[in-house]
Amino acid sequence: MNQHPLSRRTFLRGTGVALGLPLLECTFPHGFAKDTVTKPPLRLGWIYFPNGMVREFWTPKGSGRDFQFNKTNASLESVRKHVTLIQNLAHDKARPNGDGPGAHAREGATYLTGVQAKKTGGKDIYLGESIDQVIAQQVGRHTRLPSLELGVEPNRKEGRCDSGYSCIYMSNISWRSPTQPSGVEISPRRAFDRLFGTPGEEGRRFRERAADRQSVLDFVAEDASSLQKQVGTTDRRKLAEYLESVRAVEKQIAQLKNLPPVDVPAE
Amino acid sequence: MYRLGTLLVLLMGHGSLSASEPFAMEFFESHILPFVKKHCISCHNTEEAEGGLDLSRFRKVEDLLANRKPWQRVFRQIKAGAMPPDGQKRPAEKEQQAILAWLDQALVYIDPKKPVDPGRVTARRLNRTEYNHTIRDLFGVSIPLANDFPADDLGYGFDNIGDVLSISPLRMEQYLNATEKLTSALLLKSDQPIYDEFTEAVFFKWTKSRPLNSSDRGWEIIPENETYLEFEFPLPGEYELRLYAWGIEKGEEKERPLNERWLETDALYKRDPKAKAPVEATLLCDETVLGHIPILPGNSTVAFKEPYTLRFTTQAGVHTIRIRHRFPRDMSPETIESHLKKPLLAPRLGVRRVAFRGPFRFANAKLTPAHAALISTKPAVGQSTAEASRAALKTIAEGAWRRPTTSTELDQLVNFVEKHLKRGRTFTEALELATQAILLSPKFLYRLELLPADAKLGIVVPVQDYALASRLSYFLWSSMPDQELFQLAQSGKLSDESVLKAQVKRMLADRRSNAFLEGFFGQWLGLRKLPDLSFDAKLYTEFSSELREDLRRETELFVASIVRENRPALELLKAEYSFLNGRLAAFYGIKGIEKGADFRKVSLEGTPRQGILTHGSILMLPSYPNRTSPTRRGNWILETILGEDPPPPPDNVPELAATQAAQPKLPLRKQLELHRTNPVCASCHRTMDSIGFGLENFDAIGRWRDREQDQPIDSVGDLPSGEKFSTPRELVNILAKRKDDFARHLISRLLTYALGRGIEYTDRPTLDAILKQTRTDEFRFQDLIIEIVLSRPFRWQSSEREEMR
Repeated sequence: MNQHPLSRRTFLRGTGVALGLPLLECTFPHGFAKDTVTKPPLRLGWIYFPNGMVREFWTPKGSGRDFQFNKTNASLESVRKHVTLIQNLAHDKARPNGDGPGAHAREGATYLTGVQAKKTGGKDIYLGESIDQVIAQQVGRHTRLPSLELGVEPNRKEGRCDSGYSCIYMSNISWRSPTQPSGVEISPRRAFDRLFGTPGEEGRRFRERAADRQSVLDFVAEDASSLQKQVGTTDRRKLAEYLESVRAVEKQIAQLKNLPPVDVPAE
Repeated sequence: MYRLGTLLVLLMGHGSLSASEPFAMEFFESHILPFVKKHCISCHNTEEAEGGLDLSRFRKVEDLLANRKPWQRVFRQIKAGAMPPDGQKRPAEKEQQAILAWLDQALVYIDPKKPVDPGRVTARRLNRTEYNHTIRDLFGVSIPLANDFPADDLGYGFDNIGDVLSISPLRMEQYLNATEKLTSALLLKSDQPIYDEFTEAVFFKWTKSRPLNSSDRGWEIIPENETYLEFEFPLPGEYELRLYAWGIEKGEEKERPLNERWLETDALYKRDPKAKAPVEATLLCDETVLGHIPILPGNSTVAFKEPYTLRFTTQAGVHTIRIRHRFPRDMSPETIESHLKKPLLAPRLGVRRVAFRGPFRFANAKLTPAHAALISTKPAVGQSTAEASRAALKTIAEGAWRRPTTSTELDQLVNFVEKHLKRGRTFTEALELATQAILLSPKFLYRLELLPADAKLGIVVPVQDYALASRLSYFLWSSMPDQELFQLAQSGKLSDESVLKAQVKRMLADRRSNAFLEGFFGQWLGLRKLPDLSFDAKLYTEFSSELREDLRRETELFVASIVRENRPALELLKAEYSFLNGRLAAFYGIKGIEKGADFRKVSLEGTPRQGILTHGSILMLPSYPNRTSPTRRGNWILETILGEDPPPPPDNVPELAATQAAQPKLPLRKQLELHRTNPVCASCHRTMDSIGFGLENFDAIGRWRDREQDQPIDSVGDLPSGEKFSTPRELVNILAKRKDDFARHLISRLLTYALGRGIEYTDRPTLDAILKQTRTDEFRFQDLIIEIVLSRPFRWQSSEREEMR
């Protein structure tokens, strides 16, 4: 039992609160990579509540250390000494700036990128790398996954997004490059498996397969590289995105191989 | 001005997309060049190129026509008044208007003498549906692996647009997991059966009406009756069916509930293997009899302890399992006859639960070539491992990549296998890894349409036959081509027009085209959104998820009949029939159909309904959970059906709620009228609201009503065109008169879905031609699809041009 410091339920509760990775320090079993990391790496989380709050219940009263939480955020009271509220952060690139309506798509797109989203229904999507990805590239090697993108609901099921903006701007706040969103995991179960590895027997076999996986990925990466010479610019960009993803997964596997297995209590 | 302009378009129908008006080429040299010289060139020249814009390169009108992107920016900047910048001399208003008017034309000008530019389709990653279907058809399995992948992004209203379908590490990881899961299943590697499920009998359906004496403890089946349910088997092969059943010798206890009898008899009953079976169970998979099992007397609890088992072989996919009552083989015909006279007193077949496990082996199930190649290839005597693997890999890769492989590609795969053999893996293990590599390759995950090696930039080339086979199959089946398409591609006949026509007909008749019906109509009309809708249960007591499902089914059956029977697309709006079951007929107030009736074609003549605009499903989509929204309904019809794009409301308009608070007693119609007193709003709302109010007789869930609360519904209205209507039917018929607008929009939606890219101004001649070609026969649906398949953008592509910025 003492090997299982954190139950799955506790983890999920943690996620429900705020994706709060710092809350999860206790999730590392004893002996976790002791040699390489002396204290748990600092985590950073970004959460986005789109399209507004009921202002009269949201805006805190007062300022400085003596502010009062309002009705909607009152649950933060117990951790108030860790909370700093910042107001008036409206971002100019989320304004129309000549692009007309479509605030819902534009605001989410600008949130972590600080870039004016290119108004398009699909062709030539262009935004910018988001801050979480910039940071993940710098410090992501300290954790099992460089970054974790979670969502709470599936993408839109039909087409009409926001006044000429592709739905891609509405369903992603994290972007790996101006043209490639990170995608989100909406299943808590799969997010858990990604973080902690698949438990039990299945997980053991997965780790055994690491070398096979790397060999397969090597092969397809080479395949994709040679294809790049045969296609035009747009398709080359698509293949570059593919290659980059293959390499990221290869890196993850290499990291995973060096970590001890995580024992997870059965359901 | 802008909004007035929109109003004019609404009045006249589409002006902007029809044939080009005369276009004055010489205007470029007479006006544009002097304008640029005077107002722009001092900043936007070769040396300075402010904002990356160099206008000095454009010397002739042809330069502009060949590279219009920078001019789009010029147009927008001038129109917005942002250029020339503050502090510079401003052009005269009249001059500026003339420049803008000409640029507006130039940006979409198409030279009628030049061949149509077919455009270019970005490599399309398989979306989740396509991935699932491709794996299904390649390996003959029914394992929806892609359901675990992150959702696909949408562009231009569809989930198959190459430009927005991206790959991220998260998705790559899921691909890796999915391929491992798949090959492991294909090789039956796990000790545990992949499929191990049970279903309580009470969830089974009845072919005839439900008999007496059935409770949550099981069904009791009387003579000449059966119970059935659909099951989806993940793999082909041999499964074990376990039937938890008991026989009932005398059925006379019909008036007493099963639970009650169970209480008094459970303790007494043990199954007696020496007893005589009063009844048999006949088990069927679809229409095939799997076997007859004599069932011993007992009760529901005894049955639960020990199942009767039967092994059978099936193909993967959805199959209907039936359990049928049967008299014992040795029962005399006279006895059977007397039982049939009083079936309620005859011996019964009790069923508590049905379970399946498997497959244990593939037995004599039919395997696809790719599956067979993976599991049964072994080097023959005297054959090298390389020769053996080469043949298998060729079969798997050519199916997965949907084209012939090159010898280099095969060499690479064979070497990969050899490498793993040297590392000590078995032949099948090495082949399995190679299969994973094939399925993770971009050649599988994307639809790459590789150009011939000698293709030059900027030229237009036909889509190669194998790529054309995939264009067809992913358009109509959301899956890979079948053997027939591959063979036609191989023989070079597929690009033949008569062959293409015949293939479209064949493919639409095939069940796989359900994917087209679901994918196209589900997204064009928004039917995919229906499962997410719910309504205030206090206001709409008839609403249930069952009703919502029925309504969706109605529209699905309706569009399927339009497509499969090649009916005029206009019938979508004007059909005097629909497809209803008993429940829906009652909901619509249509008499003469019994309550339990299944879906059937029903005439709508003499009812207030006609076409999809009066389907409950469509009426629900733009409604709020607690009321209708005439504005949203009107807007939905303008956008979805007529292809108009009313501009979104300006920022400073108060919500309806504000108006409502001021005048809470007014009916909705009067409130909206008040809301529209602002002339800026009125220009658009005039049309939207008129259409929406014309449908007010249908409430938020699509039920007919004459009054709302205590106010009578007023569905009289008129359109800016002067046309008047006083019933929903009259309104529908006025809208249906705009045949060309409707058909053009439908064609443009179909073309988007077929190509997986947005429609550009260069596609205008294609839309015009298809419209003209199909108009004489009222735009029959298969004709539309055939014309799209024969069109230049579908069969040709331009190799990519490096565009100047």
